[in-house]
Amino acid sequence: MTKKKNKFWIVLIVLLISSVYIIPILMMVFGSFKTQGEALQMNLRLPKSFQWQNYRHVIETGGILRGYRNSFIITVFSVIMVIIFGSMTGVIISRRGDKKGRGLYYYFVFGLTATMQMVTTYALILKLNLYGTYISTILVLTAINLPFAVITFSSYVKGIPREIDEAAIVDGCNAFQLIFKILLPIMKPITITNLIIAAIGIWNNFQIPLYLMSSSEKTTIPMMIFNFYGLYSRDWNYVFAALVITVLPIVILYLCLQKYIVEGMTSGAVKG
Amino acid sequence: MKKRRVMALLLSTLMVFSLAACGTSGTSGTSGSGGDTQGEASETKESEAKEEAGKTRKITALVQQSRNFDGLQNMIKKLEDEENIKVDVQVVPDDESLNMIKMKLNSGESPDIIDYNVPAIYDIVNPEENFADMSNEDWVDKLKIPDNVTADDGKIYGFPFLSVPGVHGFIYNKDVFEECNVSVPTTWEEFLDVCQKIKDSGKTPIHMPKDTWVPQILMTDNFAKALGKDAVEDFSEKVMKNEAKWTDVPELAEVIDQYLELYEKGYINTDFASATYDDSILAVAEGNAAMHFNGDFFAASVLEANPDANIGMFSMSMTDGVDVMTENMSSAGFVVYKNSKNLDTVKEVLNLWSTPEYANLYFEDRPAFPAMKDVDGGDVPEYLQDVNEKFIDSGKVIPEFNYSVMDLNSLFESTLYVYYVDAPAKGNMNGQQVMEKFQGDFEQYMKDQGTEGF
Amino acid sequence: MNKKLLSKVYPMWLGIPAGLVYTVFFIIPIITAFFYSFTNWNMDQMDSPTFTGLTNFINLFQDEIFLHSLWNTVLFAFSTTILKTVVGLLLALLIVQKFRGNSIFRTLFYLPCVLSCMIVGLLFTGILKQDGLLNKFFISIGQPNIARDWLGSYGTAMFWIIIIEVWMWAGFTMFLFISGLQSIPREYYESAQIDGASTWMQFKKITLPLLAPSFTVVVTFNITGGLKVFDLVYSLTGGGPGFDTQVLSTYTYRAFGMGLLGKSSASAMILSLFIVGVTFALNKFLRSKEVDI
Repeated sequence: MTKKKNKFWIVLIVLLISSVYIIPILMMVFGSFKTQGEALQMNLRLPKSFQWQNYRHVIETGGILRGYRNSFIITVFSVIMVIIFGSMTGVIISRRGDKKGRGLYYYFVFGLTATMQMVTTYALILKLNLYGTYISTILVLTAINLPFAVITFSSYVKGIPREIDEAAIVDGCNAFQLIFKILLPIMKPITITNLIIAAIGIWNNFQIPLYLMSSSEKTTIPMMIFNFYGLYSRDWNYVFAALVITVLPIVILYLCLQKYIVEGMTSGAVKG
Repeated sequence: MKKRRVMALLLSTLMVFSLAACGTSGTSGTSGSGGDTQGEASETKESEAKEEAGKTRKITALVQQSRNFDGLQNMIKKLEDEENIKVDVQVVPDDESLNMIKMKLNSGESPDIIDYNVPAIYDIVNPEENFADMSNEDWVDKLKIPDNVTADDGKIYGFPFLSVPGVHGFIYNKDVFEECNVSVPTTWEEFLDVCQKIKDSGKTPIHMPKDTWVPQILMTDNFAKALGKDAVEDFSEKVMKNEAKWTDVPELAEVIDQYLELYEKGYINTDFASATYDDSILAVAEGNAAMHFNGDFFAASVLEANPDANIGMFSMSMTDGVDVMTENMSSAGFVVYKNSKNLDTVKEVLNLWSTPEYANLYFEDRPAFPAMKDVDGGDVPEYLQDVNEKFIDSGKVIPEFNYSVMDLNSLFESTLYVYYVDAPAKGNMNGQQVMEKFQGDFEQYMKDQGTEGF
Repeated sequence: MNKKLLSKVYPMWLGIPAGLVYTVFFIIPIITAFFYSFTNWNMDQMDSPTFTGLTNFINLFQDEIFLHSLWNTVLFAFSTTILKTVVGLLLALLIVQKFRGNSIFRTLFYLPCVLSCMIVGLLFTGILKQDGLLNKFFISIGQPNIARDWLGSYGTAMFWIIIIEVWMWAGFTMFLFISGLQSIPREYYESAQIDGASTWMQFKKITLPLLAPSFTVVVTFNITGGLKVFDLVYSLTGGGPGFDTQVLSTYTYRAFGMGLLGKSSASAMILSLFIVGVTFALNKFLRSKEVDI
């Protein structure tokens, strides 16, 4: 087989798979421009006329700016903590490779396996006097996302030659400098992956802010969707529009960052 | 070098941040009055600070998503504009609301006012322990039906918006009836005839979705009609003390059998185990299905989806000779947290809300039957006019069956309501067997709850 | 490196911030709930649970719905893990090829996991319902016999839940593999080519073994995620028809919804114990396959 032919098949397969991916997403985007009756039908038809006012309605009634601000605060701080704490722990687990390191590793693996307990968490937050604060939500969301970060960082560090560390130590780096100055840039792909996955999870989470912060001043963006999600009637056109608005920042974040994940990946790197 | 500085900056920000966190928790910890009122303490502090700045008073509220109507929002806005009272509303999804209410009341960290079904909430949460007594408020005299919101101890704990929250019946597409050459039936037999004729003309007679809260309405409605108001009260009292069993009353099983018959005869859409509630709205709105059994709000949703639809509503009883409608006792309303720090403000707010000035806003775009005497509820919608004359005006309305066993709501939702959909789907249970199965779940649930007598 | 130097360069205290936040805000509530699972703790008497021993656990194992959800959970977790790993690896290998527009496809494959499960459930209900997109498609290509009520019966409903989960997360798995593929030094392939190794041999001898750490992460993540699945089932079928597609987390949530906190904790504990067992066994196995570079 020639290389050209090979490539043709690859593109064809990819295109086929893509159609499976794009249909539901088109449904959502089209739906956000439809009238209420049209949107109820949940099909792939183009809207009869583009209802831009769906977006205006959603933005005007949903308190969207406040939602964005709150979600932004929570997401940024949680993600920063997840990345910093997670990478520090991941590195020592992987590099030490001793009993203590392994113990810590399994302690975090346990976190992947356990399910979060809402009521006891709520009680704890009340006891700690953190109820209703951003801090409570940030800390809980950080805690939930840490296991995955620790495990992925520690597995990624394995692939980084030890000589790099040794050279840095010879140059007089301390532990902090080694991790944040030397290793973190090398770990960029996994850092960005972690950043995106944590950001998605935190941005979309609505139960934790709902239970831990009661004030409307602190409502986050996913709650906004429920504004258009009554028990008896659903204004799907608004729900879709709200969803597009909700998802947009995460998609943009991803678009901006994805190049770092594949940075340095050249055609010669992998021959499958 | 640059990167290192950024990192150092980030780290130090975090340090400060976490230190600040410790600081706040430390100070409010010492100033908090007791173990269980700390959450409030910080909230009051916040509102006090605001008061000093702009003389704004603030109360907190918890509202279910489906009740956060434009009308209510307008009332809250008016309050803020004219009285300088801010209502901080936490809107919660309906699924979560009951658990959240119980959790907040139990932990002593409750919003000042809570939206739930009044008087249903009295059966779910002990009103005397948790809610402020409103019996002596000015607005009580203006209530059209004070009994609706009076608890067993004779006190009023809730502020209602509606006098008649809604009635159950068949909502039908008049055009389809005309097309199939049928008219509104009066007996169950006639009803089955009508269904057959509609089916013969190639339309779906009744549309049912998988959403379990829908099919059960036919049962809560007909249980009440078959037993009658007094027998329902008697039975529910006994069953909750384990002095009677769900299988003791044959009428219940019979109603379920009649319901299952509708499926056997093919009067229900074939995809009832997967169709959504929205499909039901659409099916009736577009005339693919003739009828749907639900509260009258369903008609409003149909008209929203298709404003040209020709929609009516009629009452139907599986037991012949019963000429009443059932009411869904879910009147949106507020209860007030007993230990609220802002009790005076709350009382002022409720008094304001009972006046036409405010309450009319509530009904502006959703006409209904207001709870207060001098409030204008708007015109009765066309589809309700028939039943309004025949039933509501003449007082031929009884509570639905579920109302008598309100605290079983969550058990119903996760067992009995599911059986109602599962039985016709698998064809493995008749009415008697459904009730036997439920009796088992019921006993287990009461034991789990630690109820006396089980 | 000797032990002393190791502790100096990689001191354990670097793990304290993560360990502390994680312990206080995640582990402690779980431990508390663990103790409550031996009581009749419920929403109506939150402050005064009484000790009931193993009653909750015994009741659970006597409940056929619980046992059925246990089976569904296992079925779901294992089939989705296998599919996600295979599809994710294939996508990764496809996408690291150089062709025009591969970044667009990369983005597209990743996109589903950005959406919340709520909306995914909603979209697919629209696709899979009786007069939905899929059935319309089958009718339009002249195969009306294939069309059916996909979410209306156990087999097809479970099938689609699994497929949709794979749809959502295969792209994410792809990314984990891509980052793993990148860490493989190019020189290995170059020298293999000089030795005349075929593409398949290169894949088998270089790519697969060196991807072992990625496999550990992918499998661990997918198996634990799969065993914990909640949102998707909840929004797609709500555990229905009947209780057919109920999984452990929806069962737990059902108990929580009824206000039975003790029972709900017990069910969550069984789930956790189960996942711990599976994960640790798998981890041990997979990590033994890893090779250091």
